[in-house]
Amino acid sequence: MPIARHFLTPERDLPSQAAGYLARDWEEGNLDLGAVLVVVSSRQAGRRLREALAVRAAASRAAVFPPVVVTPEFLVTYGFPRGGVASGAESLLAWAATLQEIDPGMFRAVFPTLPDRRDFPWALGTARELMRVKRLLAEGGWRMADIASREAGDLPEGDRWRDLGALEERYCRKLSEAKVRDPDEARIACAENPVLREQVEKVVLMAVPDPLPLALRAVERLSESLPVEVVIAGDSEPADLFDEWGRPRPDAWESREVPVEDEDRFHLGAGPGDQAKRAGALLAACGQPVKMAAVGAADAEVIPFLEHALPRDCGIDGYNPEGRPLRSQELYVVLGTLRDLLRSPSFAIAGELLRSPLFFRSLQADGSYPPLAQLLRAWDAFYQRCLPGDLDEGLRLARKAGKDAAVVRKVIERIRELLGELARGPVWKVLPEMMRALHGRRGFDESDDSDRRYTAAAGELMTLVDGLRRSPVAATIPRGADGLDLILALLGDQRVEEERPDAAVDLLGWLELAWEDAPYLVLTGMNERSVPETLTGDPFLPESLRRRLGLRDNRDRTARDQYLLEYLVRSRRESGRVEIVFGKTSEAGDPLRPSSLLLRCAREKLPERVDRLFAAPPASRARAPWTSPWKLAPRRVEVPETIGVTRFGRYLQCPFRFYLSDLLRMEPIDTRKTEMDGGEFGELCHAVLEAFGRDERLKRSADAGEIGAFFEERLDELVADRYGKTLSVPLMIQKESAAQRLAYAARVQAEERAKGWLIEDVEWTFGEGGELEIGGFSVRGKIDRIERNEDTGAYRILDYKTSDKNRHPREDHWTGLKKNDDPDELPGYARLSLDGKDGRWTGLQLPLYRRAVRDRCGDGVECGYFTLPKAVSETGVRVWEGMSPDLDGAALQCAEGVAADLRRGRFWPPARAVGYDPFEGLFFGIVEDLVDPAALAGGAGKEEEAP
Amino acid sequence: MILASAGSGKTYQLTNRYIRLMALGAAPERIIALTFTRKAAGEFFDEILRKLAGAVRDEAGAAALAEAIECPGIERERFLEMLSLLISRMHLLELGTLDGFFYRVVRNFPFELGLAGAPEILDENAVRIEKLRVYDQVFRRPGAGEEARRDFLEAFKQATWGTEEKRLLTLLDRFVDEHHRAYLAAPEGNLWGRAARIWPRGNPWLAAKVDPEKELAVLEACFGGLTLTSRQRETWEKFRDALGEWKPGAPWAREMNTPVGNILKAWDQLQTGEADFTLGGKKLRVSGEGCRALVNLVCYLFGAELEKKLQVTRGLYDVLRAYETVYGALVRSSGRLTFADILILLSGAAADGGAPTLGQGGGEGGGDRLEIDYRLDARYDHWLLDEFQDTGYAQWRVLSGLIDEVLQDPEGRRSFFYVGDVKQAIYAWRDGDVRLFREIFDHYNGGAGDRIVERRMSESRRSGPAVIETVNRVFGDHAVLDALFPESSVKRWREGWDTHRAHYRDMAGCVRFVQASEKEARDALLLETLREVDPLNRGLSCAVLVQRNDTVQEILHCLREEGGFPVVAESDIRPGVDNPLGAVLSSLFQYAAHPGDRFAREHLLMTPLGRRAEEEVSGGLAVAGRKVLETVHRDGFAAAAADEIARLESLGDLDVFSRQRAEEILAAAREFDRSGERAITDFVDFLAAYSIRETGTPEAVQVMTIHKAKGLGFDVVILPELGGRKLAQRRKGLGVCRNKDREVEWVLDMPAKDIVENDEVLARYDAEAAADACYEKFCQLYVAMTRAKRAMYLIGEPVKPTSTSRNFMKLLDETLNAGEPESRRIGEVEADVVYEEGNPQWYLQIEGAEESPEPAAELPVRAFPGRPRRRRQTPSRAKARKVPAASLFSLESRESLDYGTRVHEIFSRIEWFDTDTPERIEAIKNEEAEVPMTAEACDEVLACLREKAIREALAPPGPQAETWRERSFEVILEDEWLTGTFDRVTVEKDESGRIQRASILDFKTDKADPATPLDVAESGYAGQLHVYRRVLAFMTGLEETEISCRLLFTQRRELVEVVN
Repeated sequence: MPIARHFLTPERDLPSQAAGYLARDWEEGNLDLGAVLVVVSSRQAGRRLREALAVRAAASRAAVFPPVVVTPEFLVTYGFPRGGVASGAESLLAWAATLQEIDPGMFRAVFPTLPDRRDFPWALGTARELMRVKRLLAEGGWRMADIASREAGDLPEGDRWRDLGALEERYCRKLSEAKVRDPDEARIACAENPVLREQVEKVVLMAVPDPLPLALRAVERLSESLPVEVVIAGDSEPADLFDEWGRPRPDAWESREVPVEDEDRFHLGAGPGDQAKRAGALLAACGQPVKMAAVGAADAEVIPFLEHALPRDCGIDGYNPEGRPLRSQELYVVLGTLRDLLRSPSFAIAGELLRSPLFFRSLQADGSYPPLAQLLRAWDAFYQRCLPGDLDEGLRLARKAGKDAAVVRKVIERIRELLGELARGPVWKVLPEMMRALHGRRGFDESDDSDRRYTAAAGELMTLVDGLRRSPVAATIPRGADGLDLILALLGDQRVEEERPDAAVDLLGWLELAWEDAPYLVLTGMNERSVPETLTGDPFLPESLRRRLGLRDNRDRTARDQYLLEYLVRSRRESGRVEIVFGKTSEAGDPLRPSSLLLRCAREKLPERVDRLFAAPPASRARAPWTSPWKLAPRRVEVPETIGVTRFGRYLQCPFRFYLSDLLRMEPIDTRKTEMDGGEFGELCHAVLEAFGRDERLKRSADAGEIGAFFEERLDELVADRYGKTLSVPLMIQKESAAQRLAYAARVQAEERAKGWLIEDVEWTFGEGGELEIGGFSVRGKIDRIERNEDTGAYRILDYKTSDKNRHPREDHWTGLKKNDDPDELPGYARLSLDGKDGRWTGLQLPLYRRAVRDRCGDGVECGYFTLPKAVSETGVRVWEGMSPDLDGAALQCAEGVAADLRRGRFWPPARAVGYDPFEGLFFGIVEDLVDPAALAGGAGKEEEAP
Repeated sequence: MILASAGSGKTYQLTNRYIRLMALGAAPERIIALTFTRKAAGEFFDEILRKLAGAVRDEAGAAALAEAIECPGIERERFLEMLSLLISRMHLLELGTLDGFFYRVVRNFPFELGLAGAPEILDENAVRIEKLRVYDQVFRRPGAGEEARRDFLEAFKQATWGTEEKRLLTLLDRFVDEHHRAYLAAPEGNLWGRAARIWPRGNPWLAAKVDPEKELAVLEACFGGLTLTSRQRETWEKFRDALGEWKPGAPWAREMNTPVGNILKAWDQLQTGEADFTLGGKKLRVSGEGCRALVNLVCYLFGAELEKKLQVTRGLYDVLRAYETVYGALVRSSGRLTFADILILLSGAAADGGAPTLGQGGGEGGGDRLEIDYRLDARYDHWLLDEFQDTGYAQWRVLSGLIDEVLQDPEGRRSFFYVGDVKQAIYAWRDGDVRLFREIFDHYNGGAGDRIVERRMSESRRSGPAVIETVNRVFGDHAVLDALFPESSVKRWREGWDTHRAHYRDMAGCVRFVQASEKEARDALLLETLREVDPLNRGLSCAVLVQRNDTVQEILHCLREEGGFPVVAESDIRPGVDNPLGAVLSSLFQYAAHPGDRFAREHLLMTPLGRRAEEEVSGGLAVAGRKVLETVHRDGFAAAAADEIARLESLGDLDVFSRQRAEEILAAAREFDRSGERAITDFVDFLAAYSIRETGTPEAVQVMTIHKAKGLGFDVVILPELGGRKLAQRRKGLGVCRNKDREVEWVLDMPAKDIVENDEVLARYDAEAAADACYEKFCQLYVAMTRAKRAMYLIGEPVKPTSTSRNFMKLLDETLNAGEPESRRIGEVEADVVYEEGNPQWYLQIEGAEESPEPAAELPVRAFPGRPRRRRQTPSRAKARKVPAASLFSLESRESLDYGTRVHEIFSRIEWFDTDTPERIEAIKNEEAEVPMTAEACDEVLACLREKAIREALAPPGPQAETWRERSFEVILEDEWLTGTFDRVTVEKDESGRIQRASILDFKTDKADPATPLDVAESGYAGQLHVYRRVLAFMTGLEETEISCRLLFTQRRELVEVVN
């Protein structure tokens, strides 16, 4: 039958005209179009058409029995036999299996460089690329093998196509073994023999400027038995503007001007954010954007910026009918985490799983786990202490840790259980079970946006899983991580539609705009390569080959986009307006050019147009000076009645930072921790030395070898106890470092023993019973070692120091005044002259130790450090020779001063200069300007949250 | 080849060249122009287009352009043709960056380069995350076992020479950052720390076999025979003891330095067997055995130190190789690439088989040849390379095959053009290789005459006479350069140097060089200079240029806080961490993921955000944290951050500055969200590292590093930070010695200065590296000075006459300071003006800034007739609202969905029930057996049909009845757009065809629990059926009460009437 062309005027909107066209013979009753098949450009276009039909019928108080509305892509799958055609998943799998089976060396034209690894992820990536090529070829009715055979001769890369053809054959064979056909070949066959529902009496190609070539073949075949009407929204004259299918002819459009007259319609934005801002301002100025306006985003990169800018700048939401990418949905992320865990059961990744709401809710539902905050605290504390690398190690260590890590052990076991289940069977089988287990009794409220999004994502997942389950290749579907890779690869490109808010402006892709009837249209992203959409370069199908094969090429797309732009402008000429926004750079900073279509103007106008479009981007706004929106008000906590000796030093260094570190206990968690921190390293060495000091026999030894052997053995035990047997490299290095330091310490110990020093006590604690009271505070401490010289009877107390530098005790207790120090700011008690130099106390540890042991060891006991520094040759005992009763007195006075200030609650002002300041990130070097000191004297704050 | 000096118009020349090629008939898509920055690439095209537009506008413009491109006689019309052509080919033009071009190549040859598909370019954040993954693998080596970890440990120990390191992660990160380039340049282990490669003829220090104790004893004996002062004796004993204690590899004790230095000073004499050797500040004559012993001791020390350095270098190699192996397998080979990786792939550094060659042969490549023209849809006849001095050797190697083709074109119709300024080569640290400029010229001109023609341009169209005069004085004073700096650096400089000329001879301007000893005074001079010149109010652009990034922030602070100037930093700002809002958001996210982090918790509680959460949210901060986690996982970081920002905003807690930062933080979060990642630790790290550039505006003073200023020009430039180390100093780090083909000869962790200076090979390398560094420093100062258009103000410390420093200040002082500084008050500050050129009050000649015209008002928007966008409703939306997870994730429920569809389908085949119906359904079973679930569905329908009530429901109610089966509808009801499908509707008409009655039958195929009473099952569908009834009433014109509505539960074979 002849194919009839009909023209709609380009001066009016498309939906109402299209509805009018379809309803042109309708007289009364409900508008029944059930026997008409309408091909439209996209699903969104289909929605608009059906709405327009409903509106048209409603004007006559009628309803519509709608036509069958399909996209060109759907038309060529319309007649697929059920179950006979491979799904996308099956195709991908078959390709991946083919690739894993072959020897790439036999296909050197395709794989000139042999891949380093040929695992499933490689196969999947390569399969996706080959599927893309095959799909593109099928648009024109081609198979890979055709290219080499039919186009042989002067075709570039002929060998490559021959190899690809051979791969394709293997792939198809794989599918036919499973009794399914390749979907692209099925499409080609379907286009040759289109099957329609029997009641279709007419086919209308409704304003589709860029149909899939294969779909046209189908329509052509349908036209043999059915009337086909091609409706074109455009001028009927000159006659060569459109071809018989309503496609703009490149030759005719190339020399045509784009009727954008008003220069003020151009708006240049620096980057995508700026484009969105300009669009927001335009909408805000238009009064009633919800009723009148829509926004086009020719460059998808602008959409997230529009979604942010519109509510901010004009108080309305932007609605993207394309929906959100599924890869950003919670469910997808969790599957990704599980896949990562299966591939590498790292403790850190398990922590990510624990923090995902799906997982932690499932634990909470179980009822035997503590609240989330408590659970995470336990998890972090365990990790920080034991640094397990993977779950097995974590489990071993958690079991060993007993009650302290009971909950961690339970979580690990649960995760291992999940991973075990996932690895147990094919993904289609185990995933639904696992999902049900994780979700428990949870219900989803369909009226809630986020729940609906969630169920939509879940629906996509289950459709996919169900498809795999029923697939004839179900048995070959990989398990575990590879299986999840497959799922993620297939889900990743999908999108989840969202509910349209009542007051919103639509954000539409370029190809959807023809069906948009909002009178006020703001087009963003109007840059070259987006409009006209042009592609240059392709690993398989470059432009020259696409053209030769009759696939859609740049000229076709340019003509299409020029036509669309003209239509958008002309259809609003009478009662509407189009604004054109384009950017100077992409988000990544790549330079952009305005669409060349905007330069298709009268020749005499071209210079002005160039000036207008290629102007410098508007200057960025002036920046506000740095200010703080608030003053920080630390909560008030009471000073405890008992105080450790080392805290005096921290107070003396800076009372405010002392408040933060010692009273508020502000300590960050090192989330990237891979090794012991300084404190833990010291603790480890301390523990070895403590064990030595408690060994009644060994502590008498002066044999460095024997002592060293003990140290080594004890170190091994302690490290294995805390970190397990499989150490990471950093822990191995730290262990070696500790061993090296202890080996030197053993020599020193033997020498000291030879000098008569014998350990009398280790880790001697005081203060718990109020033995040492200063200024009303009970002062407590723990002395690493008390020893007595067997020859002289003298006592000595030593503190172990494992910091890298070999510090003298005096350096830790006193410092001379610096150039910038203001002596007047120092409280009197903190000042101390030593050796004729003005200075101040920076610590009171050793003098207070002396005081504490007075009853036991008498006055004037020797004090010092047993240092185990990085430069091991410097290992040794460093006694503070200058200690004297006067110094003790001054120290005590200082301690009393500190105690009195603590009682008074004096934590302000902060010290001006401190060495390393862990609080720098909060105070930006201007602590006095940023903190409200009054807060320190305010009401007491709440303690740690209730579970 | 054009050697163009600063401001002489490189871009001008390149764009002219482009237009000229077009004028001579070249298609624009056959011209490729590449540069280094995306900004410059963008400017090329704009400039070409603007030039052509200018030529089209009037005859004078056309004539001027025709002259500039040396194509006299071209008229407007021809330029118009060119302009139109250029526009029509816009999408095909390749005017971009080298990186971008290389990426295109890799993208189109993935399988040729061993990738699995289209590569993905990693941004900074992604690179950081990948690196952490790699480190984790390197440290833990899962699967590789204890042995692999031990190997790595040994390598690491060797690389750090046993100096234990507690922050291993940090250290490995540093190794990778600092040495990764060196590794890639020399991936073979036999180049690292191999004595035979470094000293092919042997090294005396290493060869010496010395017993130090014996030598010390010899010296002891020797000194015993001499009269030593007590100081000499003390010095000797300390030296002897220290040496006795010293073990090879350990750092030298302080006591050893001076004696060793003195031995070296007397080295030549010592060889003769008779020498005056200084000990304890006094000369001591030693001879014979004593001389030999002194020499031997130094040999021993140096030999041991060199051995250590060799081992450290080999250890470093092993560490880097371990990292690189994992990185290659985990990241690069999966196609996740950085631009550096792209270059690695193209230069063959990652492959065993060598580098591929790029060519343009129409697709028929072979072997390692990648024919780019076919796959890239592009054939390039003319190559234009800008800023050529910054091109690296590896980059050149990738391009060279293509350029060879051009220069060997038998018809000579193709061309190669490169332009740059060898005096602006400040990117050597990023592999920029300024020597290429001349080598390429020599290579192609070798033997065959003048295939490449050289042109030099030294007339500045940017800077005025005062600036140019000063530049000539500083860089053209060869006597001073010769006296201060290495000969080879100065020679290279001279080769590239031409005396500059100012094109605009009358441009008002000035250069002033002032000196002040105190830092405070120099800061004050900066402020006073700005106050004096007042550039912004005069409409002049102004930049303060410094050497280091740290100084940018210092100066920014000084100008903003103390000077009150509007100022922007053309350096990176970090919105995630440089302000209170960023800090509190970071703490909030950190706390949400790690509630045990007391730092984050207490910080939050100090802020309104935390306090309000604690007061207002039930459950306090812990619950607020959980909500943050939930929002992050559900909607992403940007949504979670936006919620918190909105909360603060609604409570009036944000100021203007914080609002600006909020926008930047949200942009960061959106960027992160695109990765799909939800790991909070990664996000917090990302936010901390996220940086943006404050972009220049004429309304503010711009502060930036000299490197960032390259390519820019400003009316006024101030250089307040000119101190620093000597210019001729090798860059710290590994010594990487290359031959003239840039192949690495050896790599060595360089030993201390004393050793280097006394070893011929190392000294030669050191001198060359220092000369290179010196040359690069000249370039840096040259770039800084030539940014100025009208005026330049140099502020520095006075140079003491005795100073032996060979730094910037020395150079400036020697060339500009005539020796009679004038003490002058500049604003409030007293300073020495040591040099002044031009008119000090030049700025008075500049008129005030033009008021920028009011932005054109937006056209008034007409009130167009609005069109409501209706929400689309479906009846099924009115169904029961809760979906249990068990059914959402149930395969059975999906099966029953499919099953239901099939049952519906079979029912739809029944127009009216008659006695043949069961038979027809039986037939379907056979005919469509391959369609899943056919038999079960048919059986169910048949079972239903056995029920009388159901049969009746499917029978025609009268002679004029009709059915609608599976019929879709669209209708607007009360301004709501309803769309749906009736399962089955029966309408009864009278004889005139008027509808009298109608009934709806809706099939429900799901398994209702047989124990559940049907009215309960039914209630979930009441809403849905109500909508159907409304629609049908509208469609038929009946009252709703005239429409009956029934549900058919197919599994229970029961019909239930639904009352409206």
